[in-house]
Amino acid sequence: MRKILLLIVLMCCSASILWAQTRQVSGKVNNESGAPLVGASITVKGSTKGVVTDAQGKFTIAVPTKGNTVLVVSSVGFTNQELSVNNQNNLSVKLASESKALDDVVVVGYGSVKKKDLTGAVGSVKAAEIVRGNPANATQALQGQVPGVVITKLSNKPGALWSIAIRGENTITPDPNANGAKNLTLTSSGQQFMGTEPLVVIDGIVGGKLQDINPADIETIDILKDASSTAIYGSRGANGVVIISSKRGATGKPRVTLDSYYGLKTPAHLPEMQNAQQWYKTAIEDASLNLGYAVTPISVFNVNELAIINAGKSTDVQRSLTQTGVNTGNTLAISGGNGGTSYRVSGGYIQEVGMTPNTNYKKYNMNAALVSQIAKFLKVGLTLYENYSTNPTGSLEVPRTVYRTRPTATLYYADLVDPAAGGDLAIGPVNGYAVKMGNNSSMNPLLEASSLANYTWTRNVSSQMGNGYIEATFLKNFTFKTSLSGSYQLAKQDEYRGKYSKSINLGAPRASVENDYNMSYTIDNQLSYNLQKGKSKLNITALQSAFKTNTEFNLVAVTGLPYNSFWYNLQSQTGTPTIASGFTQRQLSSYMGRLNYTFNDKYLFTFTGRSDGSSVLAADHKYAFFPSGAFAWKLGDEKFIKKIAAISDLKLRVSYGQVGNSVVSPYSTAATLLTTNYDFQQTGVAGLAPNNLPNQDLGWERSQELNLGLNLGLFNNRVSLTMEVYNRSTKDLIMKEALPTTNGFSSVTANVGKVSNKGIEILLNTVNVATKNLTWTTSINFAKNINKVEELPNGAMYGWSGSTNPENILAVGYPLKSFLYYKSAGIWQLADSVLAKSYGAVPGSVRIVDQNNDGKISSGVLGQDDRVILGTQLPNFTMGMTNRVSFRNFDFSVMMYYRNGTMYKNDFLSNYVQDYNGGWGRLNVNYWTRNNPSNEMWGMGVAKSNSDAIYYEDASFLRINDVTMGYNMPKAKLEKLGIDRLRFYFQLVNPARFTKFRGNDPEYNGGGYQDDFEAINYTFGVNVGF
Amino acid sequence: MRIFKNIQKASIVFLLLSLFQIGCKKDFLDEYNPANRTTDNFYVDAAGLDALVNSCYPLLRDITQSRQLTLRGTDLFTANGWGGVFYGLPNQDDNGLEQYDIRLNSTWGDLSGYWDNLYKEINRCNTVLTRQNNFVGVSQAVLNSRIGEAKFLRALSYFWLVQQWGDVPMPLTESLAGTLTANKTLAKDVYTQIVTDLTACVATMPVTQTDNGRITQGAAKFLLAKVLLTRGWNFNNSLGGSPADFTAALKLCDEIIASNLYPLEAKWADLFPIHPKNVTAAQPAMAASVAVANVSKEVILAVQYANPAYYNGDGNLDPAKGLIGNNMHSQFYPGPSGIAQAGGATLWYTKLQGGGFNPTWAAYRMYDPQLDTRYDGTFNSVCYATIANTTTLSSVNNNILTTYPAPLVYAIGDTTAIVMPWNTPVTLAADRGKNQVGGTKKYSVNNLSEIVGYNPTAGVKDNMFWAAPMFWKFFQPGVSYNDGFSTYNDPIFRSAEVYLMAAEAIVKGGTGAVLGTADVYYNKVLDRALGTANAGKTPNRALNPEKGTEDPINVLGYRATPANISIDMILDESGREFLGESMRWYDLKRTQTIGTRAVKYNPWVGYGLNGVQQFNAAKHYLRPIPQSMIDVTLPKITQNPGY
Repeated sequence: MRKILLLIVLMCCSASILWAQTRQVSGKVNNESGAPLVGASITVKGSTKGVVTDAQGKFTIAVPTKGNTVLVVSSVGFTNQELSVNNQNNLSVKLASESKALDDVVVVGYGSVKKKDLTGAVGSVKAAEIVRGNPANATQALQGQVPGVVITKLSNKPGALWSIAIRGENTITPDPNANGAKNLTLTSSGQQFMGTEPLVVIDGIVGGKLQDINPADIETIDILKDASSTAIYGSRGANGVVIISSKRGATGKPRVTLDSYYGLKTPAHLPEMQNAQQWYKTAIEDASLNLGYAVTPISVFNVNELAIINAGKSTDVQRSLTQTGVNTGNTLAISGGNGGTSYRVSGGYIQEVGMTPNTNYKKYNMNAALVSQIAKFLKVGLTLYENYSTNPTGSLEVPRTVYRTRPTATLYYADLVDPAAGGDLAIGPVNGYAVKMGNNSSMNPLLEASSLANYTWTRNVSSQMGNGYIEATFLKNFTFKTSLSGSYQLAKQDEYRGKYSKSINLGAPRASVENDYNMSYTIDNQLSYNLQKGKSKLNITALQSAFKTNTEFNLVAVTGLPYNSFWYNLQSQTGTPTIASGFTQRQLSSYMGRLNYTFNDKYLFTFTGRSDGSSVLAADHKYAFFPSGAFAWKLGDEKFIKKIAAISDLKLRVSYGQVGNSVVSPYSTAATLLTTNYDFQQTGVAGLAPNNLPNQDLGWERSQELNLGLNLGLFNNRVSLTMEVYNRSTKDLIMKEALPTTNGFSSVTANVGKVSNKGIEILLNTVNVATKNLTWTTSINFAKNINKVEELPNGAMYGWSGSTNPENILAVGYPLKSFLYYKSAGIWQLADSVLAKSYGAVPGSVRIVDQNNDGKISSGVLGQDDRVILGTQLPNFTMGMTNRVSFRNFDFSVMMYYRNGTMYKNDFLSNYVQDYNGGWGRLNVNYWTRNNPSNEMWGMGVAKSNSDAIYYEDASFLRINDVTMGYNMPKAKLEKLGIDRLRFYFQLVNPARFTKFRGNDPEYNGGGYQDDFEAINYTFGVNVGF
Repeated sequence: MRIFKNIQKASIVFLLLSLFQIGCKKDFLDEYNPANRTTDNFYVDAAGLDALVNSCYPLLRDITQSRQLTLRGTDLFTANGWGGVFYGLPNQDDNGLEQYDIRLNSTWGDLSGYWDNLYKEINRCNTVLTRQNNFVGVSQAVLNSRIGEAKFLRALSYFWLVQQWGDVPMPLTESLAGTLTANKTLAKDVYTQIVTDLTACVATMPVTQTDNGRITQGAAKFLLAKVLLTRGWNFNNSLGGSPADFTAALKLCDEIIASNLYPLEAKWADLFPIHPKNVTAAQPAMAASVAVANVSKEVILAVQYANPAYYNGDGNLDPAKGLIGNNMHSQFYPGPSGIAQAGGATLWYTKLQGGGFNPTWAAYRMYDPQLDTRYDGTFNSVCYATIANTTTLSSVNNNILTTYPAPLVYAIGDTTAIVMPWNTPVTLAADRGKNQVGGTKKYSVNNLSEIVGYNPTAGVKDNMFWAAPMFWKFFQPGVSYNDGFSTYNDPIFRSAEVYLMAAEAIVKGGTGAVLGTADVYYNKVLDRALGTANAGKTPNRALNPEKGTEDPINVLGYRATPANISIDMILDESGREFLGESMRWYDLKRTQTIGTRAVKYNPWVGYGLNGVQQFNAAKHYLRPIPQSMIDVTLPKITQNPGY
């Protein structure tokens, strides 16, 4: 070892000596049309010494006085050029532009390749696309951009998270803690991410969180989709890998950029609720007609409500409650560098103000990155992220209580006709509000949401992430890199529910505090060897990696607080506190080897082998080996293709890979203890029962995937097409195998079941118009994934415990997240009343399809009863399309997203299609009556056996995600001001959407709890660069 | 200098190389779990044994609260979902439990819940018994008790299982790996195992326990007596029973009585919390009454519920995630307090949480409201305002005013509604509430007969919510609305039942009775209920309790004589004595009287499907094996006949 060190030291010294005597040469770099190229880099070949061109394209560089020096001139978007200095002192270089798209560098994990040299299925999104819609969360930016990556909104609440699923769902275990560091990624609405979230790598920080990075800091997002591409990340990449590369500093003078936007949002595309008169007609006239006897107004409405109805008024709580929301963000970045060091520092602030009162999301980001070539053989790099977000929310009940409030409600006490009638008299006015709204409703939403002092929920997250590495080049062609990345996150969630909140309902207040901690680190040691000989290129990488994460939580919830002290005085409680804490930890240890071989720059091979060890699996099953391989043939470079003028690029790819997944909670292999206490005559005793069946055979879940890829460029790449076809099957699924409960347990975690995903992904980019002043480009992507449960343990189907819908089941031959329920055939009409009666229904009832024609509607065994698989929550296909037009200094773009085939049991229908005497607001849909043979919704007062069958709806939708108009100040004017770039833009986000899904936002299925209203954003933005 | 610097830099590389070791350490992948222990490293000593045996108790809470299976479909309790009949539809929106129609099938959720909890309980007991030799440092006396507790609880679970389902799988060792096989054991063999375990308990269990609520020898004798009594009836000739079982059961009952360990309370009401009018003022006294009732000597075994609520664990969940607590106060009929429509009226006494167990109207008419103290102890006929309010009255009576006079003002403690006993209905218009034509009272006045009840042609006129007295037998004051639980212990074995079991054993031919003929045993229970003032008198029930139209004319005395004592009479008496306490379905199943009693007294059992009575004795005395069992067993477990 000492010898090697000595050698390294010697190499350093000799390098220094070489540079002893130099002279200056200068020159100018132009593009093909003769315009100066700013920021082109000039390096002395064989050294790291380099300079960049100034604003006039000029440079000066020191070269050795002795020998013939070769300079390498390069600039992004242009082909590198080498030139010999000889004895010249003034050089002139013209760089030819290259077909840019193909030379983009794609990060593929522990390395990067040019796009044209890719062998696997990788999608990329660039900075401009990431910030185009000014998302608060980078995940959102991916929607509709990369085929095969399905991004779904989980809520309209400010700060809400988005879910990601890459190429369908490969695993079943719906365990939010299964992927270690993910337990903190619960959404504010309590919806949980499934075990299908991809691995996120942020600047080498393995296991980062997308919501913690400022979208404006991102340079590119690369998404590894096929198994051969993700193989390098092993089990952690089993659901795909999202690699974030943040913006970096470039050598040269400091550059300052400022990106700011400010937007207002107003409620839009909202469900249409009945007004007081419609409510009255439905409840009294329609119901009387259907029931055959008169429904008296006094049996449905009290005096306060009748007063409103008779006055022709109607209460629109939503209008009274909502406010204009705000979306704003500012990011300031400074980057630069000199010598071998570059840096970038940025600070950002993003804020979303909700449309429901007292709802706010603020995120503060700081990011610093430093890369330094500290010696010829040694490079170090450091990236740090510091984030803090706060998400105070007034009442989680809004907008649910808004929809629940009948339009006959009286909001202010002074307006009550009879305060006694609805129970308001006994309470009296509170800040002028009528607490029971004159009709003995639950709490007045205006009051509930009016003040944080009444109901506050808040979540503060502070998160640190960092990565540091040292890279050493030694011997010949060897590189060793060791990197350490870590993250620490604290999420603090507090809640206070006051006297006038719905859940407390005039009782004593309640408060809770919850702290979640997550720590994780990854250590990677990477050894690479590069060799180029003749037409062969060889790269070998060996990697050793260790990962550890632990999570901890503690929670205290108390009841019976005597007065409002938020969560700062829990000891004043008088009820029974709930106290809980917990800890889990998991580790992974991996060894990997990768070999890339290229022959003649046309035939590319990649082989990867990885051995993964996971702490959560049984002792003898912790390690498994996963091989993968890929081959790409650059057919376009073959002579016989080159002859075809239309084809400018053609590449065929095939890859096969296996990856493992240990998606299971820690400690699943042992029989742990369940605390189940008892008492003997008021004296508590500890009870600890066996908690689960141990499984000493629990091993890896294993996926294999075949991917066929095609890259085609036509007409000088005016049209470029990328197509992927894949077939992935996952076996030995780690899931809960249902057991007869005579075992004492209903399930055991085991390797059972098989699921497959087959699909096709198409990305088409076209340059429709390209003239001097006008360009128009279109990017369309399409992805279809067919998900199918292939095998289940012992039998064809069973209920999926992770589902929020009881009808959600797993069935062989059907996709995950399928619904098994009765099929609605619309509404029973008057002509069929005799037949309807035989089914226990009446005209106006939901008509259930009698699948087995036995004259009754029954549940029991699939195939033997009348329930069928109605559909799945997984989409049939998704499409995204972006059109960009630039005309002189103006730019214009439109992005659209279409999702087809998702089914939900519509929460909005099940909550807000109220019967005639229902206590809540009623959605204004086409209800059946004896005079209105609607087939769309049951009638008032009819029998409703299994009527929720009609709530299962197709949630396909087309959304105009954003429309942007921008203006770039002409360069000539800016130069006088010393500004590089100045762009103004105006943007509409979510201006329109089209769907048949009745009620709320079709993208997710919400009944209004912990949510906000859907909105259109009107945003003005500016980008400045100095 | 440069050399030195480079050495420094190189040393960083070495430092990082040393990190390499982190992933190479052999124990890097060992799991670290400071928050929990495992069965193998915890069930090794006295603390492990105690905690394991203690964990066998909390499931009793879940199991005994599965009242759907043990109260519904009987003669005494009925469902609240009357909408179906009201709308003139073929079926009500119910699960068929009472109508015994096609909806009572293997997919019904409560069925699998009950089954699953019983087998979970059995596995916990089996864990104790399988590991009984592994615990070090435990005295033989303690070990005997703990093994006995496990055997008892296993026997109790199998007893419930075999009564509900007949032949059932019978694992007797701890599950250490999952199996898909679940072969049925014949009911008679299950009974043999139960009797073997309980006989061992009687031999080795301590007579008393320091922990009140633990299983004792007395509890084992009680259960063994009941098992033998049940086996004696020899359902479908499948239990291996014989007349000797009645004699053996009778002998055990006499032993329990003779031991004098479990004397009857002098006053029946002392078995339950007191029920005052003004809950706020009487809080301390009421809390004390719960504590007194909880230690009544009459109680042989009670499912325990404690304060602090932390110990009110659900046997299935960590206490941090779920508490169960005693919900007896909230599961039964809330009475007419809704009539007063004041948020804080008597309704909140019961904190109805949705169990919806309504006594059948026949149940009310089984009592003599004047002589029998159990009528007022079980039902509250008068509702009081518990908060001040201004509101209007409403009533079930047809004779309601079309325009209501001004709202009435209530102070705390004011009467808001009353329901007259079946044998003293009001007849004068002036005795009615102001909401009715001619009414003068400030509160709603209703006759029990105004629950129109089941009428095959007209359907029900209205549901019972309005006009039957509130069920307040288990009411405990001072439990808060949202998350309060009653701390009254649920008495599942009490010595009053020993007398009735003995009477039943004698009627069925058991010999060797110590106290005398069957009626002697029966009247012990009755006379205690009548109280010292009325002991020896003959109380009257309605002759046809299912008919409100005969109120208050036709009556029938229910004092036993050697001539009139019968199984039916004993069932009437156990209904009165244990309303809501006993798992009534088991009594009717044992005596095979669903077809007679439930069909007669429970409107829904009689109504059946579209008015056609569906109860089928060949099928419905056994429940269907849960579909979830059939789905996952290999080979498929066989379904019970008829399902």
